[in-house]
Amino acid sequence: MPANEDGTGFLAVFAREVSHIRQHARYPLAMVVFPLLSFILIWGLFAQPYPRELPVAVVDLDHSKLSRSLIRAVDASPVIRVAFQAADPVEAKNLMLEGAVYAWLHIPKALEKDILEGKGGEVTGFTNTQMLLPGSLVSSSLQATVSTLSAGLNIRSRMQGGAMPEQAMTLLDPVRIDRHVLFNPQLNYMYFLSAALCPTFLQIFVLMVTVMALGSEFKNRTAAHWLKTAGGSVWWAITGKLAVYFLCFILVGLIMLAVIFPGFGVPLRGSGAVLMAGTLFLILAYMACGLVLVYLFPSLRMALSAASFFSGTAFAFVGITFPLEEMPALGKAWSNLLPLTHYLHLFQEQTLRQAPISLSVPDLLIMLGFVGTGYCLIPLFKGHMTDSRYWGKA
Amino acid sequence: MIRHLFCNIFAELNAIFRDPGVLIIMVGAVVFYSFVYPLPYSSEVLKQVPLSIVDYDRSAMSRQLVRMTDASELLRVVFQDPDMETARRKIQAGKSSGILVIPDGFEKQVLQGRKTTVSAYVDATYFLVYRQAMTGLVTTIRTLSAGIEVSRFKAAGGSHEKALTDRSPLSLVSRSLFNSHMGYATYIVPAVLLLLLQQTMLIGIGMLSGTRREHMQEKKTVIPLQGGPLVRILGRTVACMSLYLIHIYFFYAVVYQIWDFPLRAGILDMFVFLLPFLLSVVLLGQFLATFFKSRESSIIMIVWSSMIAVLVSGFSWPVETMPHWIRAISMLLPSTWGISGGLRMAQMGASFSHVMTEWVCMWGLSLFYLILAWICTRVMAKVPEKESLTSSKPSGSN
Repeated sequence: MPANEDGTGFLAVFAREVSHIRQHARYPLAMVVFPLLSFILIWGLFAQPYPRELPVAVVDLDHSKLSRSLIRAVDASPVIRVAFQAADPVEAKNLMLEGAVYAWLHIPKALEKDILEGKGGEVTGFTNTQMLLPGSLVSSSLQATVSTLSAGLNIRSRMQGGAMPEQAMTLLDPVRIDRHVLFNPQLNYMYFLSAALCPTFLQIFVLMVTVMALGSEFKNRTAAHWLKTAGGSVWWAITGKLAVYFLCFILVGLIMLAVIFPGFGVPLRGSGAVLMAGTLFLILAYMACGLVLVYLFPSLRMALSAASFFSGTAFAFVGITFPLEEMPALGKAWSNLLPLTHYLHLFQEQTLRQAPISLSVPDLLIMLGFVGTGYCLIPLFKGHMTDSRYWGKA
Repeated sequence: MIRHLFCNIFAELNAIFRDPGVLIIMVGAVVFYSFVYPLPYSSEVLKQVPLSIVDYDRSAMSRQLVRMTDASELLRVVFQDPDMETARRKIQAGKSSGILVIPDGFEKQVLQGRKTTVSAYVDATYFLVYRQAMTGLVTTIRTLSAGIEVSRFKAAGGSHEKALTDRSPLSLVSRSLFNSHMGYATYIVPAVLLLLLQQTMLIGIGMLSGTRREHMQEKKTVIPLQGGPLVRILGRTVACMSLYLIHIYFFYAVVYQIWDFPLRAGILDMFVFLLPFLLSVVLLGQFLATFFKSRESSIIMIVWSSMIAVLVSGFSWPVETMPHWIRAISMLLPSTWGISGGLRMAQMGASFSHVMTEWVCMWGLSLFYLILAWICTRVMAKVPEKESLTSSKPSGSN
């Protein structure tokens, strides 16, 4: 084992780091408490994985049997709850501006009369698309409800004798579309978002803790002591220190996978081994990024600011909410510099898409590339550790 | 008292502008992020989703359908595959996002006046891609179908309109309000900008407090704060708020212009609305700062909390679907109220009466955090000696 006779080396650095962590509450907080709280929060947020009972107003100017059955049908849809009956469009719009409803359904005067006379009728759904997600859900749900009701009216009117010729019916709608939803048929938001959010939280903590642990040695002018504990070897100094965090984050990573698969019930259709390897590489890759940042920014707060930018904005760039292909070249390039992008790519392939392992190998290799870069930087830290000019920079 | 207040405002402004680390967060990051954050969403609407076609019919009509699909602004035909399995593998590899299958005998059935069905298989791994691809396919098929329908009725000599109302007596017209082209940047960025104010302010205040504490231990020169806890809190509040009022102007007058976001409120109204927002954030920051022992401690927690504040604020996931305990936590964050009311004013043109609840709640939060900050500052002021013994030990030196 790499322990020298004078009690220096890998294990000495490891022990020194453990005692350092035990003295500073921020490390256990950032390594264990915050990540676990994040997983609990995500679980709570998406425990109901389909938005339900979104409030909507109706402006019923017809007050007929038909308009009442339309309102009942809209309210019966699981996505929508008719929360308000507004007297006029002005009142409905005020409700929307107050944030009380995501949409309102306008039912014009004489709707029932027009339909009974065979003239056809039109209702209007005004949707708040500033709230894009609930807005579009409400909009498509209204569309589905009105179509269903319309089909019912059609059947009824034909049964009452005002039938159109069967021949005309066959002329209508000659080409139909049969919709199939691949990989996430119920459009479950838990599968879609929560599985991506957990690793996003994890990378924040891995990167920030790594930068904090390495950078504080320089800020607090303890780098020379650190190197001495390692018996003068920069390799033992860095690997001994990071091993503590690596072991801890592996544990957190395993908890994360346990939360996502058995916990959230996300289907694991591909290879669990590849996913485990990917998680391992993700942690190592972000530790390597931490090394790069501390090397580039000797001042701890600059390194931490850079790390918070790198990890805090990552979710916008990984292509989950908005696809990578549509980003401008700069955004795309930045996205590829984030290990998280490659991990989530692998993640989607091995969980929902049931892709062959061979497709995920490039992602693993890219993450390994990040690890290799960090590894190559280790010898360069010797200069930082011995040159007091790099120390004491807050 | 007033003299102490002015001294403290000056001391805090001095601390902000003399400290490059704080400036980077409270000025640099605000400007930098407001240009970087919209970047991934800058194309606003997702178009040209790549598709595979599996054409078992290979007729003139099926080729017409392929051309129409490719012409749809939401879709782009990138592959013509011989069978489903090949096309499916391309989806797994992420090369296309959907498959349109045209069955054998498609043209024949259409010409014989019968009904026929094509199949769409769309990847739902990414929801936005799914929604655009499915919408594009359904619209294309409807257009094709309607064209055939019209020519059939012409040939049969019947009234097309009458047949249509008979088939579908009731129809829905959908109108999108406020973000009519359903732009993604317009949806995300205005909310994130407000969050940016909150989070940079929290980090900045955490750093200012940490620096004061570290410098006092190291006996470095800082302009000391004067007076009791309340005057100290107020001095920092005024200093930070005056800086952030400039940021608000910068957002609505510059960033909105550059990214072309709709602004449906006057900037003065936004100032008035966001005043208690900034106030509650500054006071929250001063309350939290009493827990951070060194300059850097705040950063990890605040970066972490930015993600959480976005998730619970209600614009990314509807509040109606959140459990009560998460809703309760979110109500303690100024960003929840600031985003909710701020978006409705700036993006939707709500008047002040529409956002009164949010405005009052932010004043309430300000009072709440003022009391907490005051208590914590008093407690801290009483135990400075003990504090300096336990905090910020040089790491590993023992």
